[in-house]
Amino acid sequence: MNRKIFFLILFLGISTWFLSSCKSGESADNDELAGETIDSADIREEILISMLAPSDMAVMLIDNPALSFNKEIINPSSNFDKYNTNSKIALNIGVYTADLSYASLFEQEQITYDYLDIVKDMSEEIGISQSIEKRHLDMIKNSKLDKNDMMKIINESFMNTDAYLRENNRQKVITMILIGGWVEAQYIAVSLSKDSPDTNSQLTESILAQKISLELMNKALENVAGDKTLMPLKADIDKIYKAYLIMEDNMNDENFKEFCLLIRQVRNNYVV
Amino acid sequence: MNLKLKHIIVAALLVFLSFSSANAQCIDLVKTKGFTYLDTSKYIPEARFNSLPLREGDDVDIYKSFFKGRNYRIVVVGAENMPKLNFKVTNFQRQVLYDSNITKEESWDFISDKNQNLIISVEVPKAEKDKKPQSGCIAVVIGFAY
Repeated sequence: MNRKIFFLILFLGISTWFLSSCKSGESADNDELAGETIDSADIREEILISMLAPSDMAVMLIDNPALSFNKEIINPSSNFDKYNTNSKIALNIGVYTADLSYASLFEQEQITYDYLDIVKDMSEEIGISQSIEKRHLDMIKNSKLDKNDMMKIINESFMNTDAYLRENNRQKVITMILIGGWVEAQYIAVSLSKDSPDTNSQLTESILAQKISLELMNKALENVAGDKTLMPLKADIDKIYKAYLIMEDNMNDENFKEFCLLIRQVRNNYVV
Repeated sequence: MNLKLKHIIVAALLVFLSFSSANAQCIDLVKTKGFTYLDTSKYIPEARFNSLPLREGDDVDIYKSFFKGRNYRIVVVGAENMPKLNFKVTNFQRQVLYDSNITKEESWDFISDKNQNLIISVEVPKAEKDKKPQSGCIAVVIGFAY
């Protein structure tokens, strides 16, 4: 009898620990992405920096009737197998979420479904369960949805992921997903601009407007000195911010082209 | 089974169950009360999860980007056991653009006149003297319309 009770207590203890830490039992950089525990009893004044989600980034940047869907731009689904560390997986959850949001804006149901399925698998690989609900995948597969309906599904799925990570103190993972998504959405936008500010003035305006979202990202990354996972990403963000300042100071074809080139370099580094 | 052991098991079970339900409460608040006040037939909810547990007397600042020409609705709601929340929207110079203390509304609709980062400050009013402060989830739900 006592043995049974001992195992029951042990089971409950392990389950509680598992729920509070919620790490998947895989690859090397897992611990680094687990984040720190904050004692909520001590919090009196909280600050949340609500950087844009990849799906919201896509809407703000490329929801533009003059643009069209180009499958060649997005990260191929076949790359999915390449990502074998938690850092790469987190970054590319952001990348694929931006891609599927782009597809949904142009009502590309099949690509939206396929990429959402990939994001679901990748999320599960780093221990994020129940982010994308089966009923949502079924709705995209089986119903004729317009872009607003698809956007609601994508946003609700992302919110599930965000909530799960926040509640399990894995802020670092969500930061990496947001950075991956921000860069990919910008990459799609600069690709559609064909590296020229004159291709579509509304698109150029949207690209330039994202300077403010980068300022929030900088604020969120203020205290990452010494974090070897986030420091290289902060360096990328700093470089992009400097490119924004150069364009703000002198907006011309050359500076815009340099900005596009930088976005392309950073993005290509994330998806390899 | 002795009484002490029974108490330990019951306490462990309660800790386990309360932890599991606390995790689900904030997202439920967003998707039920938050989405109702947002009116998802008119506004598409943004994807970030801006909800957390607070106690009476606590406050939270949420930093968020808003884009020129976009039509936004900001909704601030709390769990059933929480008092009515106050919220202000300010710029980074703390100039007040909206104050729910004046309007007594749970939401604010506005069109952003420029690209700007704003701060949504939510305050849970203090508990009455000699009363134990309540705690529960609060949620800031932001949506945009086409």
